[in-house]
Amino acid sequence: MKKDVAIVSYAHEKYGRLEMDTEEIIHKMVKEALNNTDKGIYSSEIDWIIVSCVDNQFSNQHQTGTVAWEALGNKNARAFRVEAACCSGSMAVYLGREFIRRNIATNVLVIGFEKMSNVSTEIATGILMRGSSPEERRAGITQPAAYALMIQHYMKKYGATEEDFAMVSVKNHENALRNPWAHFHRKITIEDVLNSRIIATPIRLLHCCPISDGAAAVILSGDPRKYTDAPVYITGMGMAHDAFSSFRREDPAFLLASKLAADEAYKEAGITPSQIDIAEVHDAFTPVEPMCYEALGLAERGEGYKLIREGRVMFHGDIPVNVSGGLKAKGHPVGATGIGMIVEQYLQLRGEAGERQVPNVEIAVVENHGGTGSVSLVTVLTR
Amino acid sequence: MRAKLKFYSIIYEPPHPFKVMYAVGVVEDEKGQVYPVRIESKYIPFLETGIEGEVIKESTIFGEVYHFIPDGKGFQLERVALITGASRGIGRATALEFAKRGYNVAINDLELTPEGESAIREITLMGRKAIFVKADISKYEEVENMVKEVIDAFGRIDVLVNNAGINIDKLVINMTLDDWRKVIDVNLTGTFNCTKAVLPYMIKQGGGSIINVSSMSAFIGTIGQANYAAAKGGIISFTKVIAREYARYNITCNAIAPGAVKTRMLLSVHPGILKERIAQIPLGRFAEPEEIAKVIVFLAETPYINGQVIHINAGEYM
Repeated sequence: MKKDVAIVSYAHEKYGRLEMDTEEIIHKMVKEALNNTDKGIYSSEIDWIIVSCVDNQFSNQHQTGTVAWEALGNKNARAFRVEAACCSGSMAVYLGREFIRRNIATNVLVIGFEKMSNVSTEIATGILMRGSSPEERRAGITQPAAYALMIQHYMKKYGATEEDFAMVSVKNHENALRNPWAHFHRKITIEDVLNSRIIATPIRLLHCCPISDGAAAVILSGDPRKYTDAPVYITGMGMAHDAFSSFRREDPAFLLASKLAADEAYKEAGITPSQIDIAEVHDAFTPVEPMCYEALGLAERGEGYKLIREGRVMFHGDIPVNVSGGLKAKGHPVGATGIGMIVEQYLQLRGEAGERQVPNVEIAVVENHGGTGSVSLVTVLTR
Repeated sequence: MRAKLKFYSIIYEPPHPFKVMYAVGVVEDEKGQVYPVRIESKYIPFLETGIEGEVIKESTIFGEVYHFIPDGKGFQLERVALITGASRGIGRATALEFAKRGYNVAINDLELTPEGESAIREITLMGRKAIFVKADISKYEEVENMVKEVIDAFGRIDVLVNNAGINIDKLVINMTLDDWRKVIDVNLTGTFNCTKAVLPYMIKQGGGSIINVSSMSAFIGTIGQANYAAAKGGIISFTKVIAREYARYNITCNAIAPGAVKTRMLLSVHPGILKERIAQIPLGRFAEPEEIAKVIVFLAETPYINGQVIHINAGEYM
């Protein structure tokens, strides 16, 4: 297990509705991340800034990299923005890590944000549909509908039920009660989920992540002990793609890109799925969460939904998943999401997750996919 | 090209720039090729995995789109109209007019009158189905049960005609609060109740049409009808809200504002006043209930009209 790049600091804003504009959010993340290392870091020590933001129409700003650069106040630093749909945040971390490993940088500040409340729900759904394949978009297949088609494959193939999926929503809402950064702090029941209005059959409102504002940041370092005695190492990272249209994949009921990304990350980290203590996965629509368990190897193919039935992925289960509340209840400000997931595991590994701390976390994993699984990144973190 | 529907999803919350609900699916053609397709909301009640149909390519503002048209669907549908206050007058004539156009009809009223019974007989003789559904529309629980009864009998509701109404005509100075409330409760709250109860079914089935019976009285300030005119005016505002709120579910809502129609309500007016009234009408006669019914059916079958008030008064008010 190679420990060459670690997280030495973070910043995290509460997800939900932010009054701040794009520039204020970025400034706040830069400032808080710089002030949050255990031993201190100067802005002059940051070599690169990578900003993750999915859509200009949300942010009203193309040059988010330059905004961050000005906020940092280090003329020698360089900054740019990345986009990889809903996994843009993980993509930004992936690049920052590679910059350090390839000696392009020693310290990289990675910021993710999205200001989605700038537009109405209809407009936001339309913007997010730009993450569907061209043929899906022409037919009018929205993100929930694209997931709905995959989920129907899954239900038909393996016998998962609407109750199973409702339980995932209930679990993630319950977990979010322990997370002060969560968009929702509301307990829900299986009946609430099953009676909520239909968005795209069989997906209901309470299966869907909210449209959230939010921001998160990490500082990655190739010299972590200089900044903290408790760094959290990124010991494995993988990235993979699959067909853009879900129905063109070899198996639309499986997240192949996430599995390939997980295989790559586990191989690099030298771990097996059985060693994982906790996972944050991409439950943009909760019926897909069991498919994430399978892609990560936490369950056999077609058996992911049994983990929720058996309670194993609950907060007190043997493999807690989405203790943060997940995208469903913590929120999904798309550009921030992947970084927010990584911040959660950073805190868990440092024992600083407060009320939602899972005991004895040694190995934590993040699965963050985009476009219903056409692109995916998996990250392994350890102390 | 011929194709089979493999999977589908009904989109109840259409994104920008789509405005109205629709379904999407994945089809497989005879060569084993798969395509994403759009499916118009009118086919929603017939969708099931494995059904066959035709796929046609259409140029739209969104580019070239494949549309799936299920085999023979859209023609087998038995349309259903629910008409409140339909045991006599405009409601009864509307029930018969819908039956003539091939609809099955649910006739609502407080009780089944001999005229209502004869309407049911006539509709049955036309080869359509008709049922009587008893409910006081001012009471939401009764309305909910009524709507369930119609769904149990016919499986759907394509058209709701909010026709039931009462009048208690008095000068405001003589009008009691009870007189006011009774008319508002039936005419305005009754329209709200029936609309609210029917909407979930119309949304689920992929669309529908709501026609509210307002009145010329709402426009001209008829003396002695403060309660009635206020309720009928409220119906017009309500109509416009429904037209906007539910267009996305392919549901239209319009109102009609009839003038003087030969109904029990009109004929209860003093003959002297009626004579004066008829003198105000350019065509010099009162409307037959059937003339009003024809407009209601026209609105139900013309989905591009939405949120409008159609005046039917022979030019008495223009």
